[in-house]
Amino acid sequence: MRFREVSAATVFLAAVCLAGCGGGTGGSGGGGGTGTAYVAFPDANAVGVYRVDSKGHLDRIFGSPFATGTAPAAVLVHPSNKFIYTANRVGQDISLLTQDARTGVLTEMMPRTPAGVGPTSMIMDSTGNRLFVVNVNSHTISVYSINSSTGALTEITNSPFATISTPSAIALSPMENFLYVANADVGSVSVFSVAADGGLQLIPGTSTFAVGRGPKGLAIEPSGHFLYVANSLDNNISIMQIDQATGALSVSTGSPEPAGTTPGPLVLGSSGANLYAANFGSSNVSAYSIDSGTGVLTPLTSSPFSTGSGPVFLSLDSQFKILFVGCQTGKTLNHFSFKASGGLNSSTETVTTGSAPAGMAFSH
Amino acid sequence: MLIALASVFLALLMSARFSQAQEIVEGPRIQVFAGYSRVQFDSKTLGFSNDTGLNGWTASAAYNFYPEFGVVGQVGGHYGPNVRVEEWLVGPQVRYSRWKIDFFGHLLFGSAQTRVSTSISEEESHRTYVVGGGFDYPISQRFSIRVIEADYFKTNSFGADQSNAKYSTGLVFRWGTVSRHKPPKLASP
Repeated sequence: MRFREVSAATVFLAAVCLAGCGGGTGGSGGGGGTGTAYVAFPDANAVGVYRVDSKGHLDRIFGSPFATGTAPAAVLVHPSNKFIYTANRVGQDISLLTQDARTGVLTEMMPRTPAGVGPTSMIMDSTGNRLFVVNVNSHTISVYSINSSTGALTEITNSPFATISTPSAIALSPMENFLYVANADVGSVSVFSVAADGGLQLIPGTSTFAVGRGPKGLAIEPSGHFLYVANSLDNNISIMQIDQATGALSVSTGSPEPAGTTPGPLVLGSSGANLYAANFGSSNVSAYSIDSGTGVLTPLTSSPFSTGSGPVFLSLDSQFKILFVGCQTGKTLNHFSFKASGGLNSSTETVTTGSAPAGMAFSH
Repeated sequence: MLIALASVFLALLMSARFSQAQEIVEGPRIQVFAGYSRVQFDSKTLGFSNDTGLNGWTASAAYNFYPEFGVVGQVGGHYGPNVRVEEWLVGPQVRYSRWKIDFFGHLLFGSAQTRVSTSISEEESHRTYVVGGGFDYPISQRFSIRVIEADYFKTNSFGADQSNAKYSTGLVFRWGTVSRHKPPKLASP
């Protein structure tokens, strides 16, 4: 009799324990909670939304991707995490989207904000008050003020601002008082001073500085002393010293540093001590350490690191410290975690997106 | 999970086996249950920020071949914000009565239909299984209160596995009697 009672109790307790296992043990794994990743898909006229965990695992939000304007080429998240923006290259406008906190569903707020011809990339100041949009086909930069309550964009006076040639990339100095613009067709970088209202003006005197051919990526290390320029036609990276008073550039020691084939996007590691370049032609990522005193780049052990076919962007999840690589030709997303040296640990997990990704951003 | 399932069934089999030692054991031939149930649906697998609580109903009918063993068919519907799940399953059930309480356990297999509505609505049919148990407290010759039934409710919808929890309570109607007699002892040589 005693054994029967024990068995019956075991049945019941096991059932309760199993029921307790339910509800919340499935889905994206990993500790430390989850964030949200947004990926622009130009061919689908949509932005894909994924839950991302601390191991870089992506789970697609139900109903994703969500419609945007035509051919979103870049995606950006406002520092408040309340607003998502896409630059729609063919639509020649900017989409503003908000997200349901529970379901993750994105809803676009209409009407869209007009931009120049061919908006392809964007950056925002750290306060979330100003948005800078590169219009590659009209050779201009549109500047908008951002309503912190609604996320609505208002183009500032005198915007858009003319650039020297085809603008391919932009970067803000850490103090956000200078804007650097890569001129892809003429192998140079132009420097604009940024006014309090976001207005742009070429710096006095020499404002355009020669780099390599086909500059496609820019990155400024956190101290603001050095600007790195990926020269896609020369397969190298220019190292430029920044005069922090005037914003002017000069060629620095060790420039240029060889990269892979057709380097483009550049991104700094979360500590600012490392630089990563996506090489479209060789389908890999070159990784370097940065000498804080001289700005000299030194390739890390085992660099370059293989990616999917045709990497076109690098995006750093700074909370989870995961580097994502979007591959246009392969239509995939790869991710890497970081070694203590700054080198990359590749993941065997590759997300096949079905449509070529063009940009990625995160919210936490 | 597999270890938990194996332990449930090992306990179930041992309960049934040792029940044979009783002199006379009786139980209801037929049990019909209906009541309220709540599912904690694992909607994080669909990209939601949290699980989703669903309220609904569960009904079942069991036919007992022996006082301790029978087969049960179960249906249910659970509804909540953005998610709806309806299921139908069948499988073995074991029972044990003690202290005027009827304990039971079951392992059920079947199908479910899950509907999710956010910016789009999609519905999918898929296989499912339930393992769980509970206890009933008789209040009359014909009726019992199902105090609690706790189930692990597995679904697989929209490309992901959901590990859900289901809790039910309600009324049980009992009809007929099934009994077992202990075989007579053989004389000593």
